[in-house]
Amino acid sequence: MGCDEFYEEMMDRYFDNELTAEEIKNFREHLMACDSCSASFRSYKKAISFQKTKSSFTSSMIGKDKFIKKIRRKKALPMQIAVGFAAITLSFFGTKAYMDFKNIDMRYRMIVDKSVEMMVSSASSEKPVLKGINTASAERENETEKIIKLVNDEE
Amino acid sequence: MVFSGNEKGYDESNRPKRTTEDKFINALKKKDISAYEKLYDEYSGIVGGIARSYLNADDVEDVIQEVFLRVFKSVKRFKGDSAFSTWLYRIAVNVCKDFLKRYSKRSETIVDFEDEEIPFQEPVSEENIEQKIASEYEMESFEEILGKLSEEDRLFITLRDIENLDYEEISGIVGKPLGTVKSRIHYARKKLRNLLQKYGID
Repeated sequence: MGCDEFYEEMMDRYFDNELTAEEIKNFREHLMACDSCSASFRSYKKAISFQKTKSSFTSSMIGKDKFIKKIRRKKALPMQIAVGFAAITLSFFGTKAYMDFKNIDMRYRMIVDKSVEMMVSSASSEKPVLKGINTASAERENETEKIIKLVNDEE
Repeated sequence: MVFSGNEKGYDESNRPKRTTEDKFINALKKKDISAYEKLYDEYSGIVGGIARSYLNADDVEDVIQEVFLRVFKSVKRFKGDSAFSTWLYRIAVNVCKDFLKRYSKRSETIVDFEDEEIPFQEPVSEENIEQKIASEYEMESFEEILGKLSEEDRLFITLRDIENLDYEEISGIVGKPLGTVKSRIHYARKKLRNLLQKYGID
């Protein structure tokens, strides 16, 4: 078994395509003479070709379609998020604007209501004042009439 | 020592080889659908092969989907420090590792009840029977022997002897130094040879 390590190394280098032409010649000669090494070499090659066949994979169209569909969905995702975000933003600002408008409307109404109330209250308080003035002047007139009468009587 | 500045020169000498790859990578970064179709066409075979021999299982399609989705998610971060293929195979190896973790979790809880299927076989002519039995025995033995190798040994043999990737690329894929990769491949091959001898295959 003296050939083991040396030819194992050589076999590795053979599979790595590292042997020189001279080394390949020597290696072949050894394989012809050594049953153990030639069996090892043959079985390794067979095992590799078995594994090659076993692991060979041909992609299916179904797999490719599935993948491309996923990519399309993922590609569209940021756009969908952006649209969604825009929609949320718009509805938020829309609602805010509506609320503001309503607030303005409310404030406007309050102002109008207040001014109407003020006008009404001022209109209703106008009469008694006028009435007061009227009665005062009437009383004054009566008074003067009385004085004139008194003066006339004394004469 | 005089600094010759040939680092840049070295990069530029590599340029012409890389322009088509650069264009392809840019298209991937831009999420160009046709680039992803090309990615699938060009790399699903080898990614599937790596997955099949590393995992020694058949749900390769799921691995491929996961690998390419990871490419889609992370290609923006690809800076071109290594070849694109090295980067891609590294992702493939990592996805396989994740799948192995999942398998080990599953096997703790699930007992495999799968019956062995007996396929219909054409009757064989007398003179071929011996040969057929021998080759079937060999096939079964190969299956068993390769199953006996560790996942990592199988991966190293796949990358080197089946996919014919060079040592440096393998070192980039598995993230281990060149020397380590060389000795790991040497020992993986030795282990396989010993198993073949043990099973009496020649």
